[in-house]
Amino acid sequence: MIGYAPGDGFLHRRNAVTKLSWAASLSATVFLMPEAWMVWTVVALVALTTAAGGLARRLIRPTWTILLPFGISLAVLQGLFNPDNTTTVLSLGPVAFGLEGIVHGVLILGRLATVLLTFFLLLLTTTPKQLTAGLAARGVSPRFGYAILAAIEFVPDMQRRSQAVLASQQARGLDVKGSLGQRVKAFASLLGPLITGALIASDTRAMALEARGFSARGERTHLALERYGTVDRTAVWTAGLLFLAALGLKVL
Amino acid sequence: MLTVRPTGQDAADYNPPPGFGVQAHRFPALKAQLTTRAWALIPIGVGINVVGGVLVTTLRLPLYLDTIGTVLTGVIAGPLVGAVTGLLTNLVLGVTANPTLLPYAVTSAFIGLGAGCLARWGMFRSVPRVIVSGLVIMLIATLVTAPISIFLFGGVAGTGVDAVRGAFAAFGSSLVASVFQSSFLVEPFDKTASTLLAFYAAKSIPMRFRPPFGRLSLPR
Repeated sequence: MIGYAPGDGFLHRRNAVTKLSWAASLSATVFLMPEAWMVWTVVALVALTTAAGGLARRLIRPTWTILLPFGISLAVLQGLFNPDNTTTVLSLGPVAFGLEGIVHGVLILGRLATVLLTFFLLLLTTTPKQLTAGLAARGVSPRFGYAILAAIEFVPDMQRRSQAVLASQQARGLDVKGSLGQRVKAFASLLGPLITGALIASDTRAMALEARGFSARGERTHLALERYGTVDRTAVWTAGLLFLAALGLKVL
Repeated sequence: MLTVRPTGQDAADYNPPPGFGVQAHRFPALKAQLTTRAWALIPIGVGINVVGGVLVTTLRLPLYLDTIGTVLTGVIAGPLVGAVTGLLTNLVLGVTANPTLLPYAVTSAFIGLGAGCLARWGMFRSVPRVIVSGLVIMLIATLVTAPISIFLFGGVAGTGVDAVRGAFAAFGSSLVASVFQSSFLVEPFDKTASTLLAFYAAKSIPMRFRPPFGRLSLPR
């Protein structure tokens, strides 16, 4: 899990929407690039931005824990089975790793690295609240914003509850280490109380929301206003144009 | 029995907010499904999805069971609500745990949409129908997931299914075929189990706590 880290670097000071549009634009652009070196240039630039923002130390571990297993799977799958393989780089007994497959794997890994790094940067420098407030200020439905925020809040809450239900069901003698059949039954008896409790709570939640004008029409004002100045506006447009340019080059 | 209801002038002005105090006799229209109650249900569906995934790890079950919440909200609140739940699950997990889940938001949205439509067509009114629904949902999920896996990540999804996939490829199937075959090996059990669990959970909700859609889509 990666979450917000307080700070006041140049990335922290930008509007959430600016960072989101750059993350989305770069992530989409690398999938349009045909060569591995282009993609890895983008990765290097993003890594430099990370380092310039003083965030490199926080990102290295979460990035590697995802990239490494992916890289190994890719190397095996693409190196062994890519239909374009003609040049053998390495042969271990009956299996031969093809160069073309490995190169293709490197391209895919670069794309993945871009997605990981850009979105991790967004999350590290933006609170969920800033993100939803920023999106609402740019015209995204406030209800959708509520659902995102509530979901982010609700996930750890449900995890805590599931641990409590697990502990209390085990205290009543629930077998969580038995045969497969017993464990499937255990799953049902753990999920039951969780779902029923949460669903009944949703009714209270809906009434509380309605009491606060959730379905009211008209414009909303915000308690926390995020700056969205000329720099941010230019950056968002640049991100959009970058993607359009990449798309244009790909189509032409 | 005493019933309190607005009378006279008040009654003409009284407009209950969508989803409250309205007894449905017909399935609500697509847009009318996104009531306040439905919006409150969506984060809970997301939570159920995540917890399902966590419990599977705790109990070391050979399945994912991480779409129960999506199917559940689709069945009790309609296709649109299910789709939003699926979409948000992957967005939230994508931005808090693993961004590689982001493209599969499309799959999750289709699962929710599919579950809702099947419920709308009465496919959640008995157990045999629910099993068929589970298989249909599996088909939808595979058809949407496989192209995403192949085009974005070269056939790798970063899960245990990759090993199965590698084995298929080793036996001579092409990469595209093996991505589909490996999905067909694990997914039927997973999606049928998820759908059944969602069905039993939905059925256990008392009538008055169900949104209008769920009062009609499930057996009484």
